[in-house]
Amino acid sequence: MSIKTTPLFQCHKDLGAHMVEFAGTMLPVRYDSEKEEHLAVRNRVGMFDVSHMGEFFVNGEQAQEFLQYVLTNNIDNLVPNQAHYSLLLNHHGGIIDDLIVYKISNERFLLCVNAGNIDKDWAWIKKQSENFKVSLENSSDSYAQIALQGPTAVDLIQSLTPDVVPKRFHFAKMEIAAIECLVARTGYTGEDGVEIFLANKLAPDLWKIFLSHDVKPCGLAARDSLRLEAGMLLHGTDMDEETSPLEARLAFAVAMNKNFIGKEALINQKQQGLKKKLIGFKLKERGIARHGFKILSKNNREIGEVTSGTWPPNHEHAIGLAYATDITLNNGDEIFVAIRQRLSPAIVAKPKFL
Amino acid sequence: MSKLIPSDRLFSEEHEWVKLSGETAIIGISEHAQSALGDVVYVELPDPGKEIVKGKAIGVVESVKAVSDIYAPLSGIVLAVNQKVIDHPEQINSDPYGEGWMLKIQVLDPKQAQLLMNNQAYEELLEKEAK
Repeated sequence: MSIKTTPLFQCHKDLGAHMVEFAGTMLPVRYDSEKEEHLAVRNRVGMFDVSHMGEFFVNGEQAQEFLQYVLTNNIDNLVPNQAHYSLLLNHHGGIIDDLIVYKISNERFLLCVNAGNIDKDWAWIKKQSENFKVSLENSSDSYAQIALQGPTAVDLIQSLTPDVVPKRFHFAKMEIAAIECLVARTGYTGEDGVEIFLANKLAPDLWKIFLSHDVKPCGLAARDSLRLEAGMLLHGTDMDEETSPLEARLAFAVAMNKNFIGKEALINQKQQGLKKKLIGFKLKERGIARHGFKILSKNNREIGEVTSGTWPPNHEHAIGLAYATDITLNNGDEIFVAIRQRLSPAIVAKPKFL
Repeated sequence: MSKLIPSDRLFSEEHEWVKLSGETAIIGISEHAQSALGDVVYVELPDPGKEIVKGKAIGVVESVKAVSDIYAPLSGIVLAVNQKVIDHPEQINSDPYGEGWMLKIQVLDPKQAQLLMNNQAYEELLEKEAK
């Protein structure tokens, strides 16, 4: 597979970004200091190139019915110009991907999916759609996406448009500094802000306008520490097709009062009891617990694995997410994380660290 | 670039620097190494008294995105550890050649230093790696 670049590649180069390959795309991991980037989003405003994300359109008279069947959240709750978080499950209740679904109208929806999953999501959705009157468009290569996040993000957008910035989890077609975009009041940082979809060729202009308004460009490192601090999961790292939404604490995005792919498996899992569960933890000493490190109970029994770990600015010690086979663990309980040759003490905590 | 690489010390291919003074040496990581890592949040270093062997991993330096081993550029006995970089690892970013030093060692085999690079050779290595 050849490595892609985004329409903002040159902008990143011009800023001297450190580039890495992520999900098949060259993206900035950081420009200068990921700590400063993280803090800019928490305290002011930062922006991310998220053009690698996938965009699918689902059209047709049965579009809503189809998505109600293929996704877990209750799509009947959405009105036009509203969006929500939802999951794509396989028949075993495993998470194929997590996504945001945007209702444009009763017969047109936009799905924003993870870059690394575009091909398999597309194949799955295409296959499931055979018995529905829908047409699908994979527009992933036609759209750029800029996420503008932070407490002053919405004020900045409002100062650049005659239109009204949509409410939380709503979206609207708007002109920002005369550039046509689709603006969604969503994000992946735990801050207020917007995610802006726009044509590839318009992206560099919008990026430069934001730069001229002192928006801090932020890379993947800050994106990861921000989302983890906010307790948001990353598909492929914190969950996958072997994980169910119940285990991943994503039941809030699953409507059990409707029919959908994977529902039977979830009912069975609920009846039989969970075999593992996502926990948050805080280390008590210096160090970082990384993906794949083992966690142990207080009496040194191996009880699971770390899925994400980071040490955000302004935290005394590192934080992380793990799956524990001991589902009786409570917040405040003591565990250990095996960090190389050492057992590092940690405290189980609510997986939201802000 | 060359003005960033001090001429009073030697460099390893793993981007450690060594400042020799008689039979002791001070060890740290280069400007290039800290820049490639990002904001350092954690450092693990060997305790004083421990013997280190040239080319072997002796510690780690971590940013939120990366874990990097630190390799002994020379064999020796650890005389002192910079407690300040353990408490404030960001010093490795802000002053890699000064306040960001890591270890002071007793050099066991001074001839090993001949295998390290001077600042010009190190600059050439960086240029080669950038290609």
